[in-house]
Amino acid sequence: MGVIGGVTTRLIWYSQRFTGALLLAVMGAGLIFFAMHAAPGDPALAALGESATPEAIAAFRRHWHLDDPVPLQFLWWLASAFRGRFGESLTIASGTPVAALIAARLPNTIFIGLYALLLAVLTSIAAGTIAALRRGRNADVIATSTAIFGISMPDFWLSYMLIYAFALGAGWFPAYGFVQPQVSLAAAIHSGTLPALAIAAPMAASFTRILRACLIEELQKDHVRVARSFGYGKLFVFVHFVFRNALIPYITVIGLQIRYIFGGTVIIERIFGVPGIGSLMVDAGFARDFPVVQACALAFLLCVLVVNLTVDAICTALNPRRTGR
Amino acid sequence: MTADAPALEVVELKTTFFSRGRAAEVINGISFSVARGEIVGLVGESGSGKTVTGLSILRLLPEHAEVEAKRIRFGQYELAEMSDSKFASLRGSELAMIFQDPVGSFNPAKTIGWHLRHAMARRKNRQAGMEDGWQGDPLALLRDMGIRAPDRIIDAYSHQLSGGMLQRVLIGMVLALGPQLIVADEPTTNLDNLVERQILELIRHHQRRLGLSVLFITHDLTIARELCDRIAVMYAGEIVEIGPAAAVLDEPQHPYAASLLRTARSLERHEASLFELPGEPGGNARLRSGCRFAARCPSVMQPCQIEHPALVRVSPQHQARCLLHAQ
Amino acid sequence: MTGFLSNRSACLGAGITLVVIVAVAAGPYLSVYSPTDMDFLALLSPPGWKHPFGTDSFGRDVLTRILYGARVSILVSVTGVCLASIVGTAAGLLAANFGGWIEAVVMRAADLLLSFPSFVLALFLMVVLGFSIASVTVAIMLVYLPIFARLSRNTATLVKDEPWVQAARLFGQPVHSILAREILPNIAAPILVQAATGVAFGIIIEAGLSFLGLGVQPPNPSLGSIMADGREYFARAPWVLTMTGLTISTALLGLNLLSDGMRDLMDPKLRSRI
Repeated sequence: MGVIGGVTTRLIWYSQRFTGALLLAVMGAGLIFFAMHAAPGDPALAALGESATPEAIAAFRRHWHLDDPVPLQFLWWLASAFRGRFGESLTIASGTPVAALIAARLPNTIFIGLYALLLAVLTSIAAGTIAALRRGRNADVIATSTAIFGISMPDFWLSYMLIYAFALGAGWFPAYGFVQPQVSLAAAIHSGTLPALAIAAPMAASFTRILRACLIEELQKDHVRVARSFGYGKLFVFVHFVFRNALIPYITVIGLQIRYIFGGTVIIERIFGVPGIGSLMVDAGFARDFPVVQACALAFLLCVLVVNLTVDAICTALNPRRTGR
Repeated sequence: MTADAPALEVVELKTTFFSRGRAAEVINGISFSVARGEIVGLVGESGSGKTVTGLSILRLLPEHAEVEAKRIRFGQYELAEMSDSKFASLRGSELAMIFQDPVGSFNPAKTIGWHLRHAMARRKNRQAGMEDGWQGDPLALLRDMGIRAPDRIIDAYSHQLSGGMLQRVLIGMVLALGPQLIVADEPTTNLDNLVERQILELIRHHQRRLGLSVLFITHDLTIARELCDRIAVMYAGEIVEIGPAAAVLDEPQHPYAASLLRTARSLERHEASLFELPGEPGGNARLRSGCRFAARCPSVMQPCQIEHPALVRVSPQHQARCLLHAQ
Repeated sequence: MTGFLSNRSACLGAGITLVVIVAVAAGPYLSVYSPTDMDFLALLSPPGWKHPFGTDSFGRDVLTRILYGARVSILVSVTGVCLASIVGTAAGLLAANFGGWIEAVVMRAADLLLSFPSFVLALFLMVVLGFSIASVTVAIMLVYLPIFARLSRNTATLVKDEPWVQAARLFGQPVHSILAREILPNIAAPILVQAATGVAFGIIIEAGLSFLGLGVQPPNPSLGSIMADGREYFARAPWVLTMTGLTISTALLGLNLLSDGMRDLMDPKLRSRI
């Protein structure tokens, strides 16, 4: 049971997971691509406009391999994707490489997403702990009722409530506009607070319910009672015996829900004017800019896959049983 | 505190469980004592309340349980009226418990070494300068528990070890705390026979060496006979017989104890048709007026249905709760 | 049943849901206004006696529009979730029962669909299929399909090893009968609970899409488009958007409380035979 053996097992496990994710990514890309091709509308017309000449259209079609059989088109697309080229925007930013558009906007989405995740997790840890420890009493009832209301609210509605209260009303935060983190981190945090809150609220509510359930389950386990019989302090027992072991199911379940944070960015970015890939996808959707929509969908897919891999890695690190020792 | 004063004296312990507005009395005013250096066995079937007795004394019951007692004297402490915070400092230092299921008793996220270090540190924190027998060395402790290659299991997790091994570690941890009294709740029930023997021997060895007082909870009469100095037999939340081990097991005065013995002997001798006590130790027994054992008693008499028997002294050290002995 | 009634929040949830259903079903007939009636004398009036939820910029009664819009939203969500539950449960049952490559394919497909954020998937489908009521329904269906497939396969796997199922197999009961009569009733409970939460979230998805303008198109009223209208003049007349969202939240609260109650009720029952 040496160190070398443990490291190798882990490496093998990680590479298995990684290959699985890669496979999903390719399959996802395929799904996006073929679905897009089923969509009505001619990309050439969309790009060049109604008054384009037949020669221009033919040239366009040749350039983008639009006359090749679809599977072959997919391979062309995949090949250039690996080289980092996802085509050019057709309508909303005609001619601009899609990759450039995405690269400019992706960090903003990730920033807001992580900010929201942080808020949601911290809130849920506080609320969930209180609810579990004071189970059945007032604090618990308040926490669980608020949580259930939280998951019943449409996040875009909450955005406007937040705007009304904190932007138009108190004036603490801007109602629109986002300063990018590379320009000024402090301003980014400030302007990003309301959007992050709007996304985080329903997630926090859901995470709270989950943590509460996990903690309650763990509190009833034998080893907690044994720890108490040893006379260890309450805080010590809670942190090391209850919370530590509830973390694994908690992180596993919230890991499955993190994709909702990305979904939330789509509308919220539009409402608050955050230049991220969520708002990009909406704009491109309206304008039927297929390459951009495709690339955005793929970007979201990759984000989710990366998050899943990370959550998996964390859970494995926390759980002595899964490292194959 | 004289040398003769018992380590633990329980008077009229009563435990009630509350659920949805209804109260269920699990233990009905039992009294017993454990002398210093003595092993007292608490014997009974499941449902008799023996495990709850141990948990009640250590205040480890869930919130919906209520424990009352006229007196629980532990050394110089009076536990019955003590505050929870004061009691918490006693628990794990003077008073400790060995649980039934070793596998579930360990924190799955921590190594054996972690568990041991913290158990040993608990003792050090409590009495600065007081040395435990193992000088804070977990390996020495494990070796003393009969584990031959302790360095191999120090970094292991509980799911990697067998029940017997884990129980040894647990016993070691409890001993490392340096308690005066240990409540052992069926510590060998989940283990194979061979391992069981070894664990019992381990317990007996260290108990004698350290002069510990033990309340040994079990359903197995053979173990009780081997290990215990005195035995209390429980049925339906009451103590129905209590006395020196040999007296209770060789000449049981209560029909229930006698039946238990007959069943055990019948099993041992591989009798063709095993002796069996009719009926089941159900919760209804506690609700009955009169003697709680009356429904299943082979020696039942008319007054047994009406009059609830008190503990009667059959001989100086030996008591039984049965109308057969009432004057 | 008594267990359900004693769970107060579940009863509250059931009550709210009932009120919502009645309001949406009967409301349009009871309301004195029509959703397109414009009262130019009462543009953007705040909530009051004549208009409990106020009016919008065309003088239309907000409450009435909500009731009509809710019909569409609920219809879309319920249809989508129903279709998803039927197809998804069937796929999951087949996967659990036959295992092998069928199971692998179904589970991989479910994994793939679940790797997209739900709203992104819905949005993507709208671009592909065009913006209409039907495409929103299909989008919601595809979002929930993998969830039902996974759920039914996981629970069916647990149930299919139970003694009565094995007995049915030994007795030569045909596969489709086993699936329908033995396994299905025992996995119905969690599926119903999931359906309830699914309808709730489906309404949010539909409202979100319509809010962006990518879902149900005007003149069809929809909760999302009412809110989109309300957004235009939010600072001056917040009630349009606020009341619509509040209504949605309350309705979904009822649904969520109900599904929670159902789940609590059915938990221990999962182990016993129906």
